[in-house]
Amino acid sequence: MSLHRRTLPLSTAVLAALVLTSCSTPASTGSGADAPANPATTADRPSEAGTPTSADATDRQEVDGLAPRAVLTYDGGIMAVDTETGDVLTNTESEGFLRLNEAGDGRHVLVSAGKEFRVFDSGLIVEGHGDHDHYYEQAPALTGSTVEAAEAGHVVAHGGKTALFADGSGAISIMDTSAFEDGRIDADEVESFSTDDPHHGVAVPLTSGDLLMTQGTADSRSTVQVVSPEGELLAETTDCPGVHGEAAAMPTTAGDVVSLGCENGPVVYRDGEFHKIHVDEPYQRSGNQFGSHESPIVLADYKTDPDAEQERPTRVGLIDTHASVMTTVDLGSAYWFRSLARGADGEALVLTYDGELNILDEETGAVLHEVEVVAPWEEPEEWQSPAPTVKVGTDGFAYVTEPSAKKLHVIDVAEGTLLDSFDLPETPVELAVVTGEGRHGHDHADGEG
Amino acid sequence: MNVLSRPILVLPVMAALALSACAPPSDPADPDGTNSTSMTVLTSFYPLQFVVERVGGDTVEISSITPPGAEPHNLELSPAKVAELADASAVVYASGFQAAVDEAVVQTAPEHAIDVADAAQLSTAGGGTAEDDDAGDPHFWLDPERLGDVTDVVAERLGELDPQNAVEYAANADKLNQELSTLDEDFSTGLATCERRTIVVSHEAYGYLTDRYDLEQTGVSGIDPEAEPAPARIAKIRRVIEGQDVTTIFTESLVNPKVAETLAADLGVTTALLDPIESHADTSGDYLDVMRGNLSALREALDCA
Repeated sequence: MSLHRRTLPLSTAVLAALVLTSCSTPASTGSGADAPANPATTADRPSEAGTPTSADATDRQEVDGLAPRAVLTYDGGIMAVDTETGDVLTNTESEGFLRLNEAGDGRHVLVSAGKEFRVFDSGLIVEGHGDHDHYYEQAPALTGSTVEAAEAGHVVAHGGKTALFADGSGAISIMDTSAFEDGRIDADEVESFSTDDPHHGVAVPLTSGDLLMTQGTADSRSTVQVVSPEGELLAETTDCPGVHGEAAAMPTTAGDVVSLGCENGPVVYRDGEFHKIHVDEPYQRSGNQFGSHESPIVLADYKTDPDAEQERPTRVGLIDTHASVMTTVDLGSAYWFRSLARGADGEALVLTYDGELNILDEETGAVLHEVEVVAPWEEPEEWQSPAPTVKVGTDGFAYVTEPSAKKLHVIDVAEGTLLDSFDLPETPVELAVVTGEGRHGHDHADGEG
Repeated sequence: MNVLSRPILVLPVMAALALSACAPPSDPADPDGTNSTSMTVLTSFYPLQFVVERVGGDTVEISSITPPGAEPHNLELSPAKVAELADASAVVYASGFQAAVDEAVVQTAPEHAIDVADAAQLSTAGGGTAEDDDAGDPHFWLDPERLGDVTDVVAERLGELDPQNAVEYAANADKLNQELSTLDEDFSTGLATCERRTIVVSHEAYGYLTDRYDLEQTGVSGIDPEAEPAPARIAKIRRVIEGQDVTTIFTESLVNPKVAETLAADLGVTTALLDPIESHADTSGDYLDVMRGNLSALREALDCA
């Protein structure tokens, strides 16, 4: 490091110091005289009191704590909202149908947009300082960095890695989740893999360093594999027709546990091999699964009608991934794939058509809380259309969109209370919530693709 | 002038620099260094300034790298400050607390850089910097005993640099150590019998203090002294303090009465000031005064006998 990079007076306090000593500069510039200060290199350093650090600097300022930010898509753009004040922090026009995925670092969100993933910076920054953290905020924005992906599909952040799947090519791009810190992904930060054929698939980076991925074609997919970094096939199941939906559960001592949905009951990867979950129905699809690092149970939708145009189940599945059994809970009201989520302690959350957020004990299926959040609603005909969406931040609060009222609601899951409701300027479609704190596990849902 | 290779001499001009910022600081107009006995010592932040002031007495000219009242963690150094550092007779700092100072010390390589991090027995191993995620807690001065150990090291090193006054430095250090011992005893007895032993703080800076006096610290982030907290923020704070049996949340700066009222109404707690003494405003008395202020705030909050 060269000293001159750190020698700009960056705060009012230091400016004051400079003023006091400025008349001594003829003799005191010795270390810096031959090295002009470089403003750009200071942009990554926080200023003391919220003053901009340089011409290139952001509006970054230190705060006492971070208010989680909701990133929402609408028809024509992306908005970011402070979930404590309801303030709309940014509103960016962006074409196409946009899907949102957490990058996994607690700060960045990946926007799937056709042929690429775009990196969106929520502006929530945590810096470790000894045994505690300091917090900074800046304006949210697309960073301009993209990762190419033909038919950009699923994003899975797991075990410190983030995997991006391109349905149109079967290309898998894997990077350290921490690589998002600077807001951009460079070619040398990406490890590339590929499935045999393009298909609507998913890849999960396992903590062992191995990679779990689906195999199939555009017409048919029923295989899940685990391969080593050298490409060796370590485990495989071919008994997962229509594979879709995956979630990681609490690991065992032998490693990661991942559940996947099939059309003949789920399959679970555990202890290095695949285990089929028994279901009573000949056709049973749990194409949307939601895991928690805190729990062996995975929450899933539960569909049983192979011929339905649009099945509206009222039952959800609770997959005990360690015991390889699934139970169901009938909520008496339907839900859709965007209205399922997990609480910080593993609770199963289901927002049903009656407008209630059902908070279940995932072990017993017992209802802990029923919170009236939104007006009664129904699933739209197109999965891309707006309807209530539930996400849980690492803060343990649930965030629920209500497109018909253009609202965002905040629910304390542990207490079962509606804390706040905010008006939105646009009709929200997709939702991601970041808190500044990264996630340990992951989950994802998907359009009915 | 070549800052890196110029030998560090105790020159009268150096003393003049501290007294008058407008003097040409590095022109060795008087290389013979006649008869002045005073040294210019730069200290990196307030508690070290306090120690050097007490140990050095009138024979040492002291200036602080961190401007009065400024937040020291993310300090940036101006070229003038770096040059001052290079020109000082000695620099007293704690590595790992202020990255900019650590770097400036490495860069300017002052011959007499007195790093007190070892003496303070920081709870970090391996000498990380404040920028590292795994750096340990730097706030050693909140344990008077550790500050006493630092005092001894400062006196010893100043005595080596300025043997003429070594005896005085040692005597001053003994006197300060007695006062620190008294302070330590006051804390021990003052916090011996209390209704509660957990303090909830907005900045987890008190690990050395709570370790020494058998207290527990819990951090709660997100109390903005100025802005009324949102229901979600209140709910989060409640989660932290729930079951903790606390009546007070300690903040670093005075909380706006309206914010305090909201917290009191929603959570049933009051707020009080606990000063981590990272920086210092002239009006607040010296280290010992601020520590005694902290002691009374703790005694009141913990309901000590």
